[in-house]
Amino acid sequence: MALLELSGVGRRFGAVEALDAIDLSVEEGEVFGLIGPNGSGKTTLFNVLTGVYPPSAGEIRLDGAPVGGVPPERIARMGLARTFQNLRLIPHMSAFDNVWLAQHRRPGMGMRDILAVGGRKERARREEVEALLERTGLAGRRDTFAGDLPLPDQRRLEIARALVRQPRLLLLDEPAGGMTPLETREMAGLIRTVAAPGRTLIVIEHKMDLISEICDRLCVLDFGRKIAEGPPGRVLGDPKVLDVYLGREDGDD
Amino acid sequence: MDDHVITVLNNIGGFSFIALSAYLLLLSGEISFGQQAFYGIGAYASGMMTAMFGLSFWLALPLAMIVSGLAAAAVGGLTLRLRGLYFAIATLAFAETVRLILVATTWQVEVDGEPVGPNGSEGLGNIRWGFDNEYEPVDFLWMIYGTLGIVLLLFFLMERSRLGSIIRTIGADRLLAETQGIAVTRYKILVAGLAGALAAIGGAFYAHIQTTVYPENFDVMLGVHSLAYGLIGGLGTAVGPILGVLLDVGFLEAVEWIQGYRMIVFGGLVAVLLIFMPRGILDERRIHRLRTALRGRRQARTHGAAGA
Repeated sequence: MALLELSGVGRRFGAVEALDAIDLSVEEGEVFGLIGPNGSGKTTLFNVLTGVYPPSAGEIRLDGAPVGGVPPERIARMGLARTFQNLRLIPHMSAFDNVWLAQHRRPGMGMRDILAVGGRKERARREEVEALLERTGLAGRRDTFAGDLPLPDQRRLEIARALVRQPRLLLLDEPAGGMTPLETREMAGLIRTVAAPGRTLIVIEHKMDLISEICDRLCVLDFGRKIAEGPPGRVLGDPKVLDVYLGREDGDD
Repeated sequence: MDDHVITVLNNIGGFSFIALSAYLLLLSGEISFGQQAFYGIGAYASGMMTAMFGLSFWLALPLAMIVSGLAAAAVGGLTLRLRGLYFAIATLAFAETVRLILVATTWQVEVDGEPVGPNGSEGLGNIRWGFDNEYEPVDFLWMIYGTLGIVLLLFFLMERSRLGSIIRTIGADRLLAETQGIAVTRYKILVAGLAGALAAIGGAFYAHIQTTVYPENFDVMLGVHSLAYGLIGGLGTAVGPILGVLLDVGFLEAVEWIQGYRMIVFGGLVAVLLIFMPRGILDERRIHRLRTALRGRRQARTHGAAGA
């Protein structure tokens, strides 16, 4: 059974059909790419998956359990974590504290863990945060306010925060957005190590070299509809996809 | 200590509780214009318990906190699942309702041949527990600051625990908190209840020092001030709102040449601070710098000792 299954998922905002009858299935351990022009519904799809907006049509199943319309905090506790395209860090908290906060309601943690100000378990969890900062190249920035970090560090910090939740399904929204080619290559390396232990990822990205390097399969959205799906080599050569990206033949773009 | 100093210190201590109560709500991203209601409920509930029914202050205090906390959680429960200013409006409406109910309520029982109990706008008098037990203002001083010390200690522990971080996360970015698995509404209601209980402490002390309280003591200006204390003193630490009280009550009210101009100076101070220090004097950045500096020195010392 697929880890994530969407059938006929739609989301409308007034008269705008932001997502229209999306069918998708993402297998456990897969790195799945989500591409499409601006406004094609990629981030809306993430918002529907994470419960920020309930879907207005269709069904979503995470590991078999229906999650359409379930509040975001419950979906998060079912093992789903995400990063945000326009970055949602708390600017007046340190890098460490921004990652630490993602552990607060990790599955299996109760009221005692929330009130504890020390202890062996808490020390172990704090070491976990330090290790993730190390792994994402932020160890030297531990005490820096998130708002003072340069953009590539902020994107890495978002990934560290998502990882500390130990998610089964991780959604990355433009992890290399606004990065230089060198930084993008480093990000590709980081995403590969994140995916290595068989973790399932869905990645939104505009940088095709990054997408074709890390993704097992791709789906292309255009005006809220799925127009292509399959392995990167095939999808990126699809004339319909080329149309979307390079302009339609009638040239009204 | 002369009596004026003791009165000022008692006022600072008493207002610190309501300032901390508004501060706790500010941390969770909520504004209340009605914390004076919970201060008032604390004053009336504890005063009635000691004056009418002969309870000890030390039993009446926690009972009044529970009554006030439950009332605050109820107001929060009705409005905090909505996003926006609903809670701020509801607290203001609730506070005015409480004040008007107190004006309209007379309920007296006979104690030692005298009628005792709330008597409309005449207030609740004869709160003689302090007098009967021969407590001087200076004794109340120790009681207030002892209680304040315990409350501050609890605040510091909370700020180091995940609970403090959950509250700050919700206050900074509600959607982020939700996507981290935090049940935001439940914590907001918890915070509203705790804040209600905190304000009641200040009210209970106030009632037992004054021995008479009136509904008009709990008007909206008290709530607005308590909100301003955190914004002036800073949202980075629980010491912030107390600094705000110190500046207002300890300086503006106590210094004679400002008398009469107090509200003008206070309003100006709030306006200037909101422009130049939007999160107050002791904001998160200053507190963070202080903490990292202190930790650096401590580490340097232990490393130095290990090297020697």
